[in-house]
Amino acid sequence: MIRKTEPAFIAPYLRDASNFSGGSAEEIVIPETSDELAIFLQNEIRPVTIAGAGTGLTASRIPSGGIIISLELLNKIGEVNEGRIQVGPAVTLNELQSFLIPSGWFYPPNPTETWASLGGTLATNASGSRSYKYGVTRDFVEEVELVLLDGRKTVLKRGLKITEPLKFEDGSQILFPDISYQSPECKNAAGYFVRPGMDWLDLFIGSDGTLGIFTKIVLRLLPCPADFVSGILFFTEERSCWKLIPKIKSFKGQKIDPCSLEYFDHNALDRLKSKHNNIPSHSRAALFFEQDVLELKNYDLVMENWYEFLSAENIMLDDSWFAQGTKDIKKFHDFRHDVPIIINEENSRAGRVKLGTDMAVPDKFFMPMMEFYQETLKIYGLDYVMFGHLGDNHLHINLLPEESQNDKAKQVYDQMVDQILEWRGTISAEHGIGKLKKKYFEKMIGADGLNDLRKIKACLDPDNRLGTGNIL
Amino acid sequence: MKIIVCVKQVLDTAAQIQIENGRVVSPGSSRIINPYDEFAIEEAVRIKEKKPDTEITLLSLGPEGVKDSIKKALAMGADKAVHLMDAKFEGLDSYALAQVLACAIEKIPYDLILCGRQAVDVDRAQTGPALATFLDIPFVTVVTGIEFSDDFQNAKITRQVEGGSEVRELPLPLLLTCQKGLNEPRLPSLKGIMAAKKKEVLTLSALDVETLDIGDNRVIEENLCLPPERKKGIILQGSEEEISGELVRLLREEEKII
Ligand SMILES: Cc1cc2nc3c(=O)[nH]c(=O)nc-3n(C[C@H](O)[C@H](O)[C@H](O)COP(=O)(O)OP(=O)(O)OC[C@H]3O[C@@H](n4cnc5c(N)ncnc54)[C@H](O)[C@@H]3O)c2cc1C
Repeated sequence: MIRKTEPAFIAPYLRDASNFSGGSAEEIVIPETSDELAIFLQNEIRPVTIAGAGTGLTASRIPSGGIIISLELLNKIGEVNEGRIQVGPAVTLNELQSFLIPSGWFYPPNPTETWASLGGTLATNASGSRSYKYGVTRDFVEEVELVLLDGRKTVLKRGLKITEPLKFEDGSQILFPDISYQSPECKNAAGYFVRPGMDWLDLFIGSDGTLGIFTKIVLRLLPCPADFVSGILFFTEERSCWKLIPKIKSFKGQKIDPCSLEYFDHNALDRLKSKHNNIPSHSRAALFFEQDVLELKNYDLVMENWYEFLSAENIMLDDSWFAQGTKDIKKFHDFRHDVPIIINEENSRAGRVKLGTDMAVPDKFFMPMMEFYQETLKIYGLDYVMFGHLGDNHLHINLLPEESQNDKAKQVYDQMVDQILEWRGTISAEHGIGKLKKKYFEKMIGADGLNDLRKIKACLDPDNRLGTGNIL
Repeated sequence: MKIIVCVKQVLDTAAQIQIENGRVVSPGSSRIINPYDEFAIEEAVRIKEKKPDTEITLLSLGPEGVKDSIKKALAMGADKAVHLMDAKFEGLDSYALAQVLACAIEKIPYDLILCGRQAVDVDRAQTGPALATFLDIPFVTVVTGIEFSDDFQNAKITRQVEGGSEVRELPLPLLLTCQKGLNEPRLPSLKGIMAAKKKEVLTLSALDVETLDIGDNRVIEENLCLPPERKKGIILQGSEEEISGELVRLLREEEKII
């Protein structure tokens, strides 16, 4: 086990991809095995924050005091066995994806940031463009080895329900508290996942480093699709793009059945032009779609179905792009990834703090949501970029205020939160609450909801020492 | 105008490669059109957009899998393709390859031949110039700009040279090898992809192109190895004082440079 107290050694761990500064820690502890970690924790009384790869956007891995435990040495990738793979929590998405290429297996969750650690993606229940069809990280976790803050250890498998006790290696057990809170029905990453009769495993996934520590993870894989029919469609009007979404969704499970539907507004396209100069000049919006094709023999048919469908729609079809091979598909994913990268670069140059939304609503509010966003943004006249998971009614609006406009930006944000909550949506569908969105989370679930979540926390970490300051 | 574009298929430049028994292996990685050849295809399509009676023929040599790249190039806007496929062509050096291409081209009328500057797998940059030599036509390499006279009988060619560019005027027929900067290759449109399925791809063997005398101009790879791994960099963090202190310590104690 490595233990360091030098500030220079600790400094890199006091950062993530949010602009949050002001974290501090007394010591960093880097265990080599989960047993070593468990023994260490049995004798530890200070607050503990778990560090993944530090790509989080909510400062959830940044401690204010106590110690940091980094799992970076738990980085082994096992072999694929009957569609399952065991990984250490420090293995990055990138490493897993490269490892799987020759195997013919496929791990569907694809958050844009591939340097994230798998432990981190479990803690935040990360999702990506393909979650529209395949689901989120939660849907692909089969089993974890879990260590509690008091050092108790257990192997938690799918199927162990919260109606049964959670048993540990030392013979002790924990019962799920009696609470009435339930998570919202749309895509959601805010707060603990709670549903009647759910698996214990699902409570820990998405708990943002506050309930337990993942030290081993078994993931479920799918056979790799033979190919993807994939394209970036351009539109002369944003609204033409929005209108396409309910139509595409109405085909779900039929000939047209995409796994990703990602949106780019005109401000996103304007910025992307600096890196991709082939973007048609009069386009005002774009949609990246891809449909997985399981068997190569169906590829042409899927392509023809899209051709037939798109030819009748209001799209700049001749100027739109279609992938021919994995290189192009990668290019399209890079195109999508470039949006947050370009904005982040722009912000650091301008010394500007972005205010990003991560909200989602249930399906039936999709069109009202788009209209509402457009009108609200027009009224306030701030610079912004809108992009993201159109298929999940989940957009990222990055508000980019001048310094003098910071208050205005907060007003816009607050107004959006109010409206989204009125539609029973979530204030965070993907990045989680961490330390940055607690005020809004309280608004979302109310004092009773928070109380219920505190009861869960008290069962597993009675002294509130793990991931202190996150969510609650 | 009649244009021939020579297209080579190469291993994806992003592929992770290993060396096994002296050969490059990269399971699961895809093959792509040589990126420099994409500039050539794009340029041909742009000429066709300006001069619609242009006919673009692709010429590609390689195994069956090459058809995927041909399909993509047809989707980008080429009109038809000739695929040279024969076990006899395997391992030929650039000289012999150019000879085969020249024989095949004898049966295809042309005003302009476009190639990539070089193939990114073997990086020899010889096939284009050798082909022009066999065909006895002028060639210009590393081309970054092409401008035609009104009657398309002459072309003003800009080529990259050390620290600048060189402009030459030549009559057609002509062979050019295309460099990055010439254009930005398009992604195929859906219409292009659908249309590509109906375009003609003619497959020819060694016998068909009557190249019986290519002899033994083959490249034999004695050995291949990966470049030595670079040591990981270290990023120092902290205040200026902390960083400079740590840097001096590292240089003195670990690297023993100062
Ligand atoms: C450019 C960019 C794009 C992004 N795109 C997406 C996206 O598409 N989808 C998405 O969901 N997110 C996205 N994110 C956010 C981020 O990548 C995810 O939240 C990711 O899951 C964080 O993983 P990490 O390893 O970096 O975790 P960290 O930032 O290190 O930690 C995040 C939280 O996980 C906890 N944690 C880490 N490891 C463990 C463990 N083993 N056990 C228990 N708790 C642990 C930490 O304590 C902390 O609370 C993006 C971020 C960036 C910078």
